[in-house]
Amino acid sequence: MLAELSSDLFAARTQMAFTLGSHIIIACFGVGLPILMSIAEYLSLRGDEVWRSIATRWSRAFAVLFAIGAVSGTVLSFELGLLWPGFMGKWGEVIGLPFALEGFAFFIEAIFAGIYLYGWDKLPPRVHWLTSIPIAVSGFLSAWFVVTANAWMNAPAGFMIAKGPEPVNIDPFAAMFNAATWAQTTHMILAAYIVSGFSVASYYGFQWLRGNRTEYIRRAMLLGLWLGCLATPLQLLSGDWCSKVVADLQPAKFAAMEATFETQKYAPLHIGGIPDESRGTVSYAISIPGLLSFMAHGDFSAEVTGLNEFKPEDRPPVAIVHVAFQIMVGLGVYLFFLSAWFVLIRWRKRAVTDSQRFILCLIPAGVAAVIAMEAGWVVTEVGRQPWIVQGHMRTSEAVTGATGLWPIFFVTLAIYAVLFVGGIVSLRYLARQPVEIKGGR
Amino acid sequence: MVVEPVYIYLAFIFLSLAAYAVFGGADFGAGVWELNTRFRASKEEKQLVYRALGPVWEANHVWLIFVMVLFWTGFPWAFARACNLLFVPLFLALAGIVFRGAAYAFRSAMKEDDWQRNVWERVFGIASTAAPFFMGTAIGIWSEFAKEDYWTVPGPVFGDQPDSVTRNPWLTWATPHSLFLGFFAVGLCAFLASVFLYREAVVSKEIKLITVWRRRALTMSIVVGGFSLAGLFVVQVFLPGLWLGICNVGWLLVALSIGCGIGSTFSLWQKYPGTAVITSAMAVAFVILAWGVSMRPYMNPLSVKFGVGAVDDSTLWILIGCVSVGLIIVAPPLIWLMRIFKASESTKD
Repeated sequence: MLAELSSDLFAARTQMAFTLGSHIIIACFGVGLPILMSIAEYLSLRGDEVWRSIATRWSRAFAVLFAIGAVSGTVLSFELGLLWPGFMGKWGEVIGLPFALEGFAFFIEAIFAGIYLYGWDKLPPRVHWLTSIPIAVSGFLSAWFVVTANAWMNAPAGFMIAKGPEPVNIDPFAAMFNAATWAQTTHMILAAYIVSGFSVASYYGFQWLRGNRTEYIRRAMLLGLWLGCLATPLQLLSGDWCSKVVADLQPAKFAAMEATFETQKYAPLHIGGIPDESRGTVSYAISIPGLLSFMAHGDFSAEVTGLNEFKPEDRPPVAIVHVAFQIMVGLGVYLFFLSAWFVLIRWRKRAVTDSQRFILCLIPAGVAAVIAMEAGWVVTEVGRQPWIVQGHMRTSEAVTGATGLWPIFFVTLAIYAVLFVGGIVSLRYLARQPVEIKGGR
Repeated sequence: MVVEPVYIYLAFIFLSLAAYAVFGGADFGAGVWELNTRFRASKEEKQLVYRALGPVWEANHVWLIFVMVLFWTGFPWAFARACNLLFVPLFLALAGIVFRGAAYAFRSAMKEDDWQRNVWERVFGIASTAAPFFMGTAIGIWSEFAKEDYWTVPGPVFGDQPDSVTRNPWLTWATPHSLFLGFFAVGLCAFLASVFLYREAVVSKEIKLITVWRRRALTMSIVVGGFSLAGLFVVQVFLPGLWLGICNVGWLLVALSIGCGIGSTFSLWQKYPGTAVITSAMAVAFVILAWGVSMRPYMNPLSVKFGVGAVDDSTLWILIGCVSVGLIIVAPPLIWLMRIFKASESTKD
């Protein structure tokens, strides 16, 4: 019986991880791509046909991605109830507000996406360009609202537990503006811009190296590069901010990220390495003494809480969290060097397109940004385990009592496979259409 | 008189649900027609269906998200329990929603006469029919389980409720009345779509299509009208709790719905497309509202008062405030969207 229950819990977690992990990629484009579209169209307003062609073609790709995002987001809102009724029942009141506001932001985004995508011939050019701005703003806002709900799971606030099991004295605003909100929302939204910017830049960089050296490709690549390369340095700062917040609020998650098994002063930073949870050691890691204490608390001698302070049943899976964290940071550093290189090239007033080597290094950046973002999401979600609401509710208490979740998961896998294959085929289909610079729609 | 915030909140939920039934329903209905006329529809006819949907279907879809969010925020336990109970039909409806939206976007990316476009259009039609069907069955089961305090008692969602033990959601979601309501929902969608498309045809002055859609709309109005009357009998036989609610409070809205339905048939017959759109939309909206009001005793604010069904009044007021402000912000762009694409000028694919 217990084994069966835990297997349903695992099925529910797998299903949630898979659907959310898929949606998050698409959602990033819903946040980042409108900015690129908007800038491209703005640059086209004085009659520049290349920019206009870029804007119209991107808007068609955006239509496909936005539709996938809308339906995969709907899946998630159903799943919150279908898979985690215990969570929604007990905490729905506390964190409902940001979801409701996210609903409005999405409403605005959908309305203006309809106007924008189908209004090319119906609105004066300047008005049409203006309608792209609400898309970008509401994309930003819906990401912000929905991440506050996740931040709340990491840093619950805005309620009290008195006698009964139910939360009382609920303050939805305090819940929304919890201690993790600002750091986490900043980190996620920057990640969305980085994913969008570098994915676009990588794609056109690849086209450029294949010999497709048109003005269209050059400009599209540069615009993506600018977005990615401006957001990446900021992301490093926000990452530092996030780690300090996590060290404060979720010491177990922080210890797992850094694979710190024992509480210690002058705690070393482990770079790389594979943690062994049963023995409490990290092998093959480069250790820099004191650096972790400094990163967490701004002081080399500060004490960093180790996993030994937590009961075994309260610890997150260390290996997954540590390795995911290393992947995220490693890829972030790669993107940072790429950004610095780009700035250096521009500083010297050289053309990026003259440096074959730079474009070669740029090509993996899109995939790297996506992997880094997914790894960061694994860190925050797996790092919070065994809790669904840090310190207040275990994931096992939240799961549905419905059985037969594995078949549902396999059906979901099949549905998403169709969704992703269809999406990629459609995007490739759009990309194969010849670029028409003059008078093209 | 002091207004209970829970009533205002419930009004938001059911009005949003009615908006979804009308706008989202018409979009699904267009897909139902695509499925049914697949092999005999002319090119112009298909174009009319797809271009009517393009700019608006995503905005129309948001009403559903909105209903979900309002529901789980205001009635977390009822939401949790509904999700457990309706697991199977909701999952299937969800699959329909996913494929409908994705297929529409994919087919729009493809060029005409491409075989891939044909495949996605087929998927679009099937998914558009499946989604309202399973939502209808979910409403059927929902209505049956609305017992005095079922939705309002908190606690472990599974195990303590006798009916959730005896009732396996995998096997028993397909009851006569839930299946009936599934077909009824598909019929309503197809009816709405035919009336809306009749108007679209008139707006774009396509003589042949005007005749086709007017005929279909007239037929559907009579078919769906018959369905509705049969539905009253189904409710009386299979859903005595709901029937009681209709007799007590819902009858007025049911009567209004019937009135609007007759009005829409009349305006279709007399060739007033604008009036037909409004009356048919109101007929469907009144069905949803009648259902909501007749369910009212079971989402009873009195049991709410004793601490369990809905969230605290203070939270409700905050939500009501935010939702009101949000609706005020959303309304102008929504109206603008409809004016751009649905006003009397012809639209282009």
